[in-house]
Amino acid sequence: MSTQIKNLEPRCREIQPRLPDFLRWGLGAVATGEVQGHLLTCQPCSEVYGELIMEEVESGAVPLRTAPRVPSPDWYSSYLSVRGGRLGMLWEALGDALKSPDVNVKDWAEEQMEKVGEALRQLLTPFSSPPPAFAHVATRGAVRTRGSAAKKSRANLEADVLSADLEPTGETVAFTVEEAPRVSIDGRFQLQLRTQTAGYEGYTVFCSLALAEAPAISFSGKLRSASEAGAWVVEIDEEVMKGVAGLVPLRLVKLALALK
Amino acid sequence: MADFDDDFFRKWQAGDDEARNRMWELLWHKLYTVAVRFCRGFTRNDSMAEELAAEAFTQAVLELNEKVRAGEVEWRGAPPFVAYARNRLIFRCRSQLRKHWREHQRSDALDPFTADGEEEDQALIESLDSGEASPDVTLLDRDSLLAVVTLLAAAREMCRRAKKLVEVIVCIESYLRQCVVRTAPPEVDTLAMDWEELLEVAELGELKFDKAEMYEFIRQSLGIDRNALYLRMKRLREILDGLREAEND
Repeated sequence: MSTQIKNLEPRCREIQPRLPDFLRWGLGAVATGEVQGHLLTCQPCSEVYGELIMEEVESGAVPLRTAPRVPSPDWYSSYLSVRGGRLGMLWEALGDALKSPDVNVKDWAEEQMEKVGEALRQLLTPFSSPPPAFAHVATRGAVRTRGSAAKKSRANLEADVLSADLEPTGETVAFTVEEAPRVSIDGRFQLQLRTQTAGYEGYTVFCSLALAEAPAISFSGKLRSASEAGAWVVEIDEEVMKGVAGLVPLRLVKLALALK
Repeated sequence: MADFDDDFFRKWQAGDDEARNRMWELLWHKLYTVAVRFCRGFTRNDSMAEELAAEAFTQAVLELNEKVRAGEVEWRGAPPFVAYARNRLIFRCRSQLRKHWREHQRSDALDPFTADGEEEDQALIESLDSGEASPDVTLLDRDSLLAVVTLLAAAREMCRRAKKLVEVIVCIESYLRQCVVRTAPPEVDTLAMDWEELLEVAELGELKFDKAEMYEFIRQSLGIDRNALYLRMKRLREILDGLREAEND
């Protein structure tokens, strides 16, 4: 530190030797205030102080804290501004926003969650009996609704292929929906899709739900090869919220595909 | 930090989420701990320090991500990068702490010594000329007094380039000390005592602090009229509110 001190402002030269004691709470009230006031107005001395703290942290003398999870920067702005748009509000981003240390972001996320929860309750068709766990559904195209086994042929849905900046490229990919999308009893949004269109492995499939009194919400999953050749599947299985469960009408589902 | 190399940095720069998450494990927890420790040097409790550090941390991480992805940060090895990241984080911590000071600390602890607003300043200073008695008598306990002493010293440091303001703060400090010394037993020599020692011997139950009396003390000590005092108090508040370093005067 002594070499650096030579080129410092005179006041910095007086303050910097006090920093180790300041770090250990070893200064009196007046000296503490002087160091505090100085650091608040001096970035170079604050950086020296930061270096001292880092040395202490790296030595293991203080227990490491768990850093708060910062939302993905790509999606951060959408937390505050998106009200629908091409993909709707990403459910995953909303979950991140709920954990944000920013009170405004958190409040906003809670408000959105409430709206979405209410909208979901209105649109879901309740299960007539507890459905089997999604991952174990083996029957193809059979969906039980309102107590009757309604044989339903597999539905087809087309997904718009989007560019990196989420604009439509004009291409579409056809998917087969093998089971009606649902929110399970334990509060998870679940959907399995299958396609035979090659060339999109690793793309993210976004499944947006249009809601009446709330912004559209989107769930996502990666497209991967199926066990049989020439087919690709995506399984979307995301936690939504407890207390809402039922089948999601297919007419409300919109698909998009993007490399993300 | 062994995995944190040029290749790793390039991946992160290219938007690789895995690299971003790995960064989390390698670096963020340490830097966040630094941020909490930094803020703890200024706040009275851990939870406040954590709250300020979390906000600073979020801002710093987002800023850093943006700069890395935009190619504004060059890779010159792990130590310079970590130092850069830490310095940006410290910068954000200082912003949060200044904001916190403006919103809480100054009003909590300095208000007995600077009036609540310009109008009150003016009214109080004018009342000195009219000879009206001041109703403002404030009682302080040991911890509050030490907090005020610390804050006054911080304010003096921030105003250090403005000699006239420093004079006012030194007068406030002197007045406060006089008030405390008055409560100490007469046989105790308080002259060389620091604040901690003085507060050990003082009878704080008898401590009375009168804002109007303090203004009069400042005026007499500095030989200035009420307008000059009003202007200096106003300037002092502006500096403390803006938490800028005062310019030379």
